[in-house]
Amino acid sequence: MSKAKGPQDLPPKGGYIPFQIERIKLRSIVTGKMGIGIFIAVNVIGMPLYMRTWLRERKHLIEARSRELATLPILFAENDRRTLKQLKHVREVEADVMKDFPYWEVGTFFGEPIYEDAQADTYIKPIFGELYVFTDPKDRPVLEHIHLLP
Amino acid sequence: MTNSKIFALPSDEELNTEELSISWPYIAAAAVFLGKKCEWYHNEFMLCRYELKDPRKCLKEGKDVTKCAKEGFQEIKKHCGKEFEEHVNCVIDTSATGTDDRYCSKTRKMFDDCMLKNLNMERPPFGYFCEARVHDSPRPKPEPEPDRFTDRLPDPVAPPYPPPKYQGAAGFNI
Repeated sequence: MSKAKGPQDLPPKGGYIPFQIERIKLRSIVTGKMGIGIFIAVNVIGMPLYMRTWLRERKHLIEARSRELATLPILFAENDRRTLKQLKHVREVEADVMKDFPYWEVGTFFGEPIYEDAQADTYIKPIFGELYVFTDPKDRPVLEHIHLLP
Repeated sequence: MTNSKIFALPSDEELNTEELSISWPYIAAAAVFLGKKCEWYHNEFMLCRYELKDPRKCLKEGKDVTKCAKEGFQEIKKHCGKEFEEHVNCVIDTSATGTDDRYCSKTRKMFDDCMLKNLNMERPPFGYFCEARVHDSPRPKPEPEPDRFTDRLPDPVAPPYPPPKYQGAAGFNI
């Protein structure tokens, strides 16, 4: 162990500066009263403007809904016919595809119906994929999940 | 799996009819006039669809709706074709969905004036199709379907009860 050379470090003259004990407050731009004032002012000025826009938009919404409701019967009429045509087509294709399969009955799982409690002649709205079972996946309509969009 | 053979599907003659070969913005632009013109057919079709819940039984009503709409479009094309075309072009250019005509008040005014002048059809009042309506249909009201349960419990026995078997201890080995 070597011996220390020269004088050691000593405290500065007049001693060290004292520890910071008092709280330093943050510089406040918006005080509490000012905040409440701004809140009230924004609401008083903004609410009538918001109300005006909302009334105008509501008018447009009601008009759009009215137009849509007037359109629906025309679209439903065509959609129903198209769905029934597709159901017919799918049944024919299934009968053709499964004709050599023993004990297969069209529209059932070896004679067991899809719905146990529904009568055979009850119309049950087909799900989307049911209408395109024998279609090439590439040819399926791209709007399959359109109902999930807002 | 699809529908079975027992499920009766209508024939091709019942299904095939002259469809509207016109795109969605045109239908939406003319919808209010068509809805007013074919109101009875629309109400009849929607009531049928709602009550019977079976599109096979509402094919005739649906055909009436399409036929009436087709006639309406032919009339519009014959008398107000130019105005209608202009209005729809404006709607397509200014709205994302191809239906919203809020920025096309000028062309809409022209279209409405033409419809009123040539075809004597007025644009229905604001929110007309959002209102509830009562429709008196000539079709009789469908019978409510009785409840059917495959594993239904048997009905309780009527009051003159049969004497108990095994002194009332049936099934218990006492």
